[in-house]
Amino acid sequence: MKKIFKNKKIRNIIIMVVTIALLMVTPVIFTSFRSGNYYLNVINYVFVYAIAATGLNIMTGYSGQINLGGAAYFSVGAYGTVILCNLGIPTIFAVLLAMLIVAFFGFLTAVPAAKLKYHFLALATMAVGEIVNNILIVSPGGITNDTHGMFVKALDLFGLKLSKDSQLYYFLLISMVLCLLFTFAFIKSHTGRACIAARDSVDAAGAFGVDVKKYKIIATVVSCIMIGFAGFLFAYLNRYISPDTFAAGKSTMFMSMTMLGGSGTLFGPLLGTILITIIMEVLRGLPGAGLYLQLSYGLVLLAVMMFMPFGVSGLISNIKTKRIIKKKRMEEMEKNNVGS
Amino acid sequence: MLEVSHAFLNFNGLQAINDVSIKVNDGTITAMIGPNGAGKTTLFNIIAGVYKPDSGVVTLDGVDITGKKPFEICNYGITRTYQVIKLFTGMSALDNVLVGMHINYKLNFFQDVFHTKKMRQLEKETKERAMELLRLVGLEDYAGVTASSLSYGQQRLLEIARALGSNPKLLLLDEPAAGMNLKEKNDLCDRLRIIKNMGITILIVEHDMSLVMNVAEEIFVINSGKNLAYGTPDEIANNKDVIEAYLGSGD
Amino acid sequence: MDFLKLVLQLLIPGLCLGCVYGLNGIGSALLYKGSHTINNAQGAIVGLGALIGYSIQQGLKIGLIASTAIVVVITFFIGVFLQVFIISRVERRSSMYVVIATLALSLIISSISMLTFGSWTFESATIIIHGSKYLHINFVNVDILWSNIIAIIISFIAMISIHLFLNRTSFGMAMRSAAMDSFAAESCGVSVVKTRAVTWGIMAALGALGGCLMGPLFGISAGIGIAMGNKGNTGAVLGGYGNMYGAIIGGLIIGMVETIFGYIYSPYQSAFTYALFLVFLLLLPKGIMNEKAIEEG
Repeated sequence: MKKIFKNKKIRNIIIMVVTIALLMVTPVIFTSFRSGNYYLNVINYVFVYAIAATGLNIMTGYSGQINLGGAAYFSVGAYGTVILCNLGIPTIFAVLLAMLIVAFFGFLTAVPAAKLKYHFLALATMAVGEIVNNILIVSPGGITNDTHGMFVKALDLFGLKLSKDSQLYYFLLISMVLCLLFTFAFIKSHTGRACIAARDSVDAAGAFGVDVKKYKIIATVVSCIMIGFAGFLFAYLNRYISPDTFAAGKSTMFMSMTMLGGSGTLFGPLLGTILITIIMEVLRGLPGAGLYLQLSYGLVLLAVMMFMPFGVSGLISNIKTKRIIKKKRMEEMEKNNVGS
Repeated sequence: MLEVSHAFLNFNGLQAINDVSIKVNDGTITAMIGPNGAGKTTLFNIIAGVYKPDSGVVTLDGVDITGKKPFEICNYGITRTYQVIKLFTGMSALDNVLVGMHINYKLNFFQDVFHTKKMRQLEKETKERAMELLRLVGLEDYAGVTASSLSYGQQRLLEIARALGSNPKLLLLDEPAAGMNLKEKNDLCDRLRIIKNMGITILIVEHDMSLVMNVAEEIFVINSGKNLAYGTPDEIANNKDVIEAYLGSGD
Repeated sequence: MDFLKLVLQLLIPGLCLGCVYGLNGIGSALLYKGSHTINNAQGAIVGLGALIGYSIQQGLKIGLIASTAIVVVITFFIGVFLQVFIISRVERRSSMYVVIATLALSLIISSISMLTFGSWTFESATIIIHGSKYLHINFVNVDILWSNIIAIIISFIAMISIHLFLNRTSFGMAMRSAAMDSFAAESCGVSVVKTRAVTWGIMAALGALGGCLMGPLFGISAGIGIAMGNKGNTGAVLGGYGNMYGAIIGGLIIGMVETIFGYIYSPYQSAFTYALFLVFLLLLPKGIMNEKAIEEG
């Protein structure tokens, strides 16, 4: 038994199998006791927000462009799908079409964004968020039902209706895993590397033939599509969308999740989402919870900025890197000692 | 191979480059030296496309590359390192070199992001080549380490490896030995000779005279934006003008 | 006559709003010039200042102007405090961290002020002179709120004093020199730490002043500042970021446009202002005043 655990490959496989098994049976476990459904619901929200935060991370973390208007893309994804579905378009096409709209909207912002300096980009994205929210409140022709919001029918995938949390769970879990896999594939691709290079040094990236603007635009569009996709999932999980659900607070929330977990790391946003959700759930019972929530976002963000700029995962990977280097230096010293 | 003829450049009334011509011969290590503020780095930046000269022509193997943008220059076979290190600090050493090989990738977005068979094949080849380059500068053990955690000397070496990534004909090195200790400098000289033997021409801008004298075959001396002398290390070491410029310039 | 009446009725509130945005814009411009960052917390500070002003008014039973003066002093020190204990620590890393850190501060300050003072809107007494809330202009037969006029006057006084402070006092000169080149200024004996702290102090104080002046017009709540802070930034961008005078003019333009647009079609008032900002940012990144030209002149 001990031997098996020593073999790294086998150990990893065992850990993976156990994790997958646990994730698969989670809904079964949670639906078996009374308050379980509540926790399952919370977990579902974690999946959705984690996708949004992961998407945001592609833009802010991997390509170094701040986005304080994440809620705008989130809401376009949500409203887009719901409105198209209400027109009688099958869900799957509605989603694809909505993602195209988000992509186009993302592209519209990406082109000027690639030119702007960091602080101006912060202001500009904030402005985009405000404009979109304003349009949701007073929509042309009332297609968003303005402040009354819209109720959303159960998600209908090829005739398969997903209405209960336990049913949505698998769908959302798979979506999140796919998004994480995609992000992983993206950052390990030439395109992804070029984005990161452009983030770290515009000059050097340019000198090696990286078209900095192009890659910033690619990162922004990909990021917006993922945030929009999370918006679609949110609409069907929440079953109700209104301008309030997409106010500036959501943008800040995504930002906090990404930053706390560690921007520019694969699992950082997921980790941040889990941590922020825990804070949210703990504060939920308090009177004036919204304010305490806002206060805690603020404190979390400030603490991250002051003490750990790369978030929780940044801290972990930093320790890892230091260990590798220490080991290498020790080896070298030993080699030199033997040599002399 | 590289020829700069009669370059002029004026910065807000300051004549930084005032009729400089240099010629780098194929397969040599050529150095460009001069006192502080002589215009070496400016000339270097003209070659690298950062500045466009007011007049004058830069050619590479007879092709006019005057005023080309930095990201175009590398397509002509010129890559560079920086005086102030500009690595991709958040990426691993290997990834830095891979970005250096960026122009070799001819894949469309979907082949690339969805890791098709073609992409994986290419990725495997480029990674092997990148590891070779890291081995060449002696950083193969640090392939997975984040660039920002490398030591100063190692970062300079990584810049060279990255610059070699795009298979350049000409390698421009901007003070590669700055901040290195004696052992690292000697190492660097050996490595530069190996690179030269691979058929890559090298142009160095350097402060450190011992390094230049050790490694360079031809030397251009520039002073106050003008050509001052040209010759082999021995000739330069005995050149009266050069000695005067260094001693008389006051810095 | 009716047209003139309409113009006056739009012009004065627009000017008033513009002055307040301008006050915020000055802070943004000074900060940008000094340390190349933006302050997302400005709006929250404005709200906090206005709330403190209201409490002082109620608690000490003093008038608007006296309470505003006290608020200006208090918020000045709040600004200094924030710079010294928080921003300066983040600034060392990179100015982009300041963007997010000030966003965090904005959340903290506005939630704290709502938790302390409540999240509802307080009615602040309007200014009454000669027994009337309005100044009646016989000539066009129009009533203008005294609150508007007082706000405009005080704003202009504040702007002029800032101008004099920066150009006539030695500390103001030090601030300007530190903004141009902090290294050079430091080697001439200017304490950049001090000038940066004072910049934040001035920024907070001017913002809070604007907030207090707006109280009688819109009522006071923690949220009133958010729009003001954002639009101050907007005005500053419009005027050429980093140029104080440009920021004032930018603020005035925003105030006017917003008032006029609100008169024409109010549902999209806020979207329109932000859209205007984006258009300016993208088409005229140097602002209406090419800021270099001003510096040399």
